[in-house]
Amino acid sequence: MRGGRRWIAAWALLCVGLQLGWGLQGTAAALALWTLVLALAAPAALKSLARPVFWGASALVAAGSALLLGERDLPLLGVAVSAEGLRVGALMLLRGAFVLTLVGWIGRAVGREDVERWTGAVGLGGLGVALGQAGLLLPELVARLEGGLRGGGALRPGRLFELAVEAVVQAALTAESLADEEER
Amino acid sequence: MSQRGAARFWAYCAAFGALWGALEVTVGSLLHTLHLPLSGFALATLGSGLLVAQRQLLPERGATLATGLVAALAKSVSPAGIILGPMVGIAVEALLVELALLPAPRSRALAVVAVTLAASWALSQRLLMTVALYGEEVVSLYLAGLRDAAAFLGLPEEARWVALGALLALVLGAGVLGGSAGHAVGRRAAARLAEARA
Repeated sequence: MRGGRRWIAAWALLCVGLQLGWGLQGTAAALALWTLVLALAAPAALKSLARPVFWGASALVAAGSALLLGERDLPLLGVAVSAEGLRVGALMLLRGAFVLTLVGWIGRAVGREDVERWTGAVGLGGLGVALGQAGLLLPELVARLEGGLRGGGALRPGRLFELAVEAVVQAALTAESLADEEER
Repeated sequence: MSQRGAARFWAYCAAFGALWGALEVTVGSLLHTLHLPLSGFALATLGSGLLVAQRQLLPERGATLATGLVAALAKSVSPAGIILGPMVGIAVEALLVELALLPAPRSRALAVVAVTLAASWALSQRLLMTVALYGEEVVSLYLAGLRDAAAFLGLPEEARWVALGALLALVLGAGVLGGSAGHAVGRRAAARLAEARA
């Protein structure tokens, strides 16, 4: 698995390199190559492209570029647009799709155990234990906070301050008891 | 750091990281349900205020950053992998608070600076992420769009300075409110814990 990740990472670097100084063609070629690599080696990462918000924003960016950037020198479907703006819009859209799939792949390829290993290697070995403890504490803290917020007049400044102090005191007491347990 | 010291350090990071996560779940859900604008900004102010409060109880270097890493990973690690956006957001907020509090963790003035920095990051994260996604050309597009919108609405040149001033006032206001409140909550909590121990 780790060897596979290294190969994909090498392809990713190559695709990033293709985009440097090669303009729209380089970016298009990089995206095509990267999509092919993911389709063959990590198809789940391509799911990150199925995001209507990204495509909606990208359509706005592309249309905005064609209308707002550069001289409007090209008639397109009865509207004067900028050829330079169209090119820049297409470049941004392709780059966006590349970055989105790259981040999607990294998110899937890196797991909690990797983060724990890396943080352990830089002297933050306690982070994994703390993460496990935080995961166990979270549901109870959510329930307590919800209960506190539901209480009458919770949003009055004085009451809110007392609620905050109480939450911090409880967190500190929990931490002290966790430290005691850890020491034993 | 002694073994007891290390255990206490990480236990505080776990407890406060979980508390930050719980705040994101409860208050975050409430803000999103109410469709209030700037909910991410409000959550960042609240979260960084909590980090300031924690630092009044545990003034160890690195405690804030480590707590932020716990909160970021607790929120962002799922069985399908890591969700990078919120993880980066929380980790950078914690880093900014850590850097601001390094010289004097219990200073009220630095608490205000810390929350102001975290709040500014929350406001600018979307823009920075958009630049990371689409490239630097998107900045030219933003500026051209703003110029055209201002011209369409007939706004004078000075309007941009008014808008910028309002934004700065909002960030500074959040910093003063969140930093002072976090500092006061932390000091009160420390006093209450000291009373309980005595």
